[in-house]
Amino acid sequence: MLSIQSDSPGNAAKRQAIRLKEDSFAAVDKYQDLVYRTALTVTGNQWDAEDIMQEVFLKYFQSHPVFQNEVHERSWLMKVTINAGKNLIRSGWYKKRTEIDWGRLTAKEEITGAERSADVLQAVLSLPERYRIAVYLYYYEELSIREIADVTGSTEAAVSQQLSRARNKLRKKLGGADI
Amino acid sequence: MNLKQSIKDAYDHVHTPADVTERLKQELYQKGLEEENDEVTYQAAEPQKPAIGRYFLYIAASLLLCAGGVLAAWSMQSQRVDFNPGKPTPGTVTTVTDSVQETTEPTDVQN
Repeated sequence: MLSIQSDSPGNAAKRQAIRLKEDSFAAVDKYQDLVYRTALTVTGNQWDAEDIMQEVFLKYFQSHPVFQNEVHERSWLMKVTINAGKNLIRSGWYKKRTEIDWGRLTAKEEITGAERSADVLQAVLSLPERYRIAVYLYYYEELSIREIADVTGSTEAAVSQQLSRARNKLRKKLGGADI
Repeated sequence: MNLKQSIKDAYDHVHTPADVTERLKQELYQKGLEEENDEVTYQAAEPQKPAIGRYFLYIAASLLLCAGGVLAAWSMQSQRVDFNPGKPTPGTVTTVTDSVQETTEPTDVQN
């Protein structure tokens, strides 16, 4: 009977699997905050954000996507996170849940910064879903309107309109004078 | 402070909880182990390459089949009987000729 050679396809596949696992762990360290913040913005609460984060990284781990560069990788992660969050929000059981408890967002482990930052974050997260995603991607991730349209799957005109309305709402919530 | 800076400051304070990261890595590790196990099972189920002895067995079996075919063809050829209704068989012709000769001979004698 033939024995398995040291350079057999099975061993090569195993090495490949180990390498992919290491890459995935490195990706978790590198992009966990990006995915978590995006998921938090879409879902509006940390519990769902954690579930979405797990789902996104499992998908990353299992599909082994190939990226041209870091921008492409970040864009892929944001797109997948936003889609996963939207799917969750639009699911039947999610709609039947009780109203989101915004108080949870100000828990110490969630926001350790100043009161002001907590207020701003709460104001952003209280915006309608489309608006808060646009605000986060535009102001925090510094994507262009075109890039936001690509990531969210909408048009540039729609993104511009969402940003404009979101700004107005935020001014009202936070007080127009200091923003 | 402008809106952009306010939002940046607010999100800068948001970090993935450490326990969530740990749980996620554990989950990924478990998934990795499952995938490795699946690969091992797949390798075990893979058909092995035939050994050299098997090649000889295939060749011997093929030769036997060929020899059988040749023998069968030879046997059929040797037992073949030509059937031509218009011409009598060689044995029968001889007998007829003999009988003709026998019948014609007395005629010649009479002449």
